[in-house]
Amino acid sequence: MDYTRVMAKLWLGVAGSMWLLAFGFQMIVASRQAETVGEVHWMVDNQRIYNRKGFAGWTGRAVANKWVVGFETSVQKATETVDPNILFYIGHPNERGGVIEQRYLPWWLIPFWLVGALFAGKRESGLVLLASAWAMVAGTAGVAMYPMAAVYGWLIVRGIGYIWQKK
Amino acid sequence: MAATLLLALGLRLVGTRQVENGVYVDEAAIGYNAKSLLETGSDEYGQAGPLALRSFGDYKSPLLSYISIPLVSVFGEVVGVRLNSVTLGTMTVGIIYILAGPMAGLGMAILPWHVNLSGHGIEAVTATFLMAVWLVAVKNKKWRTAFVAVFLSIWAYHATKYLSPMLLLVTWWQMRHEGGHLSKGWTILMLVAASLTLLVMVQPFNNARALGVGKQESVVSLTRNVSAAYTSYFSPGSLISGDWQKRNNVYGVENMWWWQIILAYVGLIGLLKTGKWRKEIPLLSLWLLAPLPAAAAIDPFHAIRALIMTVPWMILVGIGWKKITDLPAGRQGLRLKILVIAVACFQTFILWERLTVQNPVYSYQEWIGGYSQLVDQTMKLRIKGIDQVIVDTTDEPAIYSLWQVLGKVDTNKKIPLWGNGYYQVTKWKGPESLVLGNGMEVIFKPVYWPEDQKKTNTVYVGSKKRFDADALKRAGAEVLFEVKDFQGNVVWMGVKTK
Repeated sequence: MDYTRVMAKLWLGVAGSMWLLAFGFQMIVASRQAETVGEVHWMVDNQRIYNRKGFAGWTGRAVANKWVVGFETSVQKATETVDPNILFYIGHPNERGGVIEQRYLPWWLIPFWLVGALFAGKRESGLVLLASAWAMVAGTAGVAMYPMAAVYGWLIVRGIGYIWQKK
Repeated sequence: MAATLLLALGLRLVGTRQVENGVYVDEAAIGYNAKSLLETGSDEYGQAGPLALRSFGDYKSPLLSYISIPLVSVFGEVVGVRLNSVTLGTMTVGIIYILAGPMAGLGMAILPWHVNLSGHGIEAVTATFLMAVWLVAVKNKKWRTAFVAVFLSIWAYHATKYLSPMLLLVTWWQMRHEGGHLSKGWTILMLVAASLTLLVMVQPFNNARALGVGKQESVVSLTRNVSAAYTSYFSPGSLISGDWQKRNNVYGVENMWWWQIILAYVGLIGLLKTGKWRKEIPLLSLWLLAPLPAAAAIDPFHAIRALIMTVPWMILVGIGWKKITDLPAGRQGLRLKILVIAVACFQTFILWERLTVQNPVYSYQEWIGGYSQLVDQTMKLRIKGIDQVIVDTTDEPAIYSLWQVLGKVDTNKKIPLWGNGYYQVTKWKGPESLVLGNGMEVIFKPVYWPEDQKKTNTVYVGSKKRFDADALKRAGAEVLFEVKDFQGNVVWMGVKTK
């Protein structure tokens, strides 16, 4: 195995670990939010008061606790970092409540992004994976979406390049 | 496989008998028309063998009503039509298991998106089943079965009316590509069927739901909105958060589990990188084409309209799983398998709790919960001394179907047809009144209390929102009954004027 591949694997490993840390931090933050605590209380009330059978004891707590709710919130946030609708369409048509969406990339460039993702993903998959992994770390850690927008922008440029070369 | 099917069946059966927790108007309409077809040979308007169910101007695809007839005859309108969906949903799981292996089957069995919707009488479940049949038939070069499945799917759901003609071309292309052929007789039969279907499908009544799409938009704005909606069906964020309508999701869980999204994209990248995508043209066509009709409707991510996508998504999960488990050999591979299976078990447990405990409370109002009690209480009223019983249609304009089913309306009493004919597209309109099973006549109209309180000896039934307590007191009206939700809040009530 050559030196470049070893280094790429190493950086990917570091990015993966960093992402796990960022995700874990998000989960801790989410689990302590007032909305999460309120939601857990609501669910436990439903288990105890309205549906007394089955899920009132430890079984109920196993599925209705702040970690389960915090995990769901964090998964939602993590997927937003790669969401093309947020990056190309200002969140349309699934605009997020309480978030002021902003324009990162013009929507009509999406075909070039797709071509770029297909070709660059095939020929430069290691580089795409590495850049995306670090952009996801930044996004999950809450450093806005600019790093991922930069990766998407790079794929757009590659897409235009491949189409130009084909001509 | 048996364990996967049992799990799929168990999860889909949850709540199918809980009519008091809510019945949606569409499943009531499908169930009532199935009963009407069974008992009288015609639908609620008296139309024999309808090509589309007029259903007050909705023009529903008729296949689900026809195939629900046997189960409706045994279990009644609501449970019968729901059990039909449960059966087809479970069979879809089985087909996916056969097509793409145990992980794909397990993925479909516990997919919240499919579990929730296949527990209800929804046309899209039938269409999804037929798409799975189509895919397995194409894969096994059973061309006749493939063509029949696509033809049937045209009659199954609004989305497949537009999707299936494209899939017919895919089937034809694939058959030629694989060196297959149809006998002369079958080719003629297919051409005749295609011509007749096309003739019916181009009629305005079959496109009544699609005619308004994008009418008031410029080409640029339409392109932007449709492409945004289309993109959302592939976006991990939308796949996880699901629909904006409460009844289309399971509370507190992802629409598609996070590990399924990862595996599906791993599967897709694997297909593209290895060049194996050439062998999977039907799968990729279905995956790419399935959200087009839903996207053309421009609304945000719509779980029902894009339910067909669950089939290619789960097959990609199966392909991704094979790709991942091929990588690490020995102990590492075993550990990975154990980890994913443990996560899937825990998620199944969460899903079970959400379906049985949280969901009935969370989506009570959207499933029109408590309406069966409202109809029961109304039917128990002593008619003597009451001039009229008026049902409010302000909050639920399509509530007639629920009164037909829950009020045990005789299927021989047909609804008068207005407009120029059964298939003539007219403005959406329900009946003005219905005679219930006990002989009581109910009148449908939006209630406006400042005016309606002036009518004497009249019973009004409907949402609590229509009847302010102070206004009732000032008018001297009497509260006859109230229906409360799980939290003790009054949701429906019946009042009688002086």
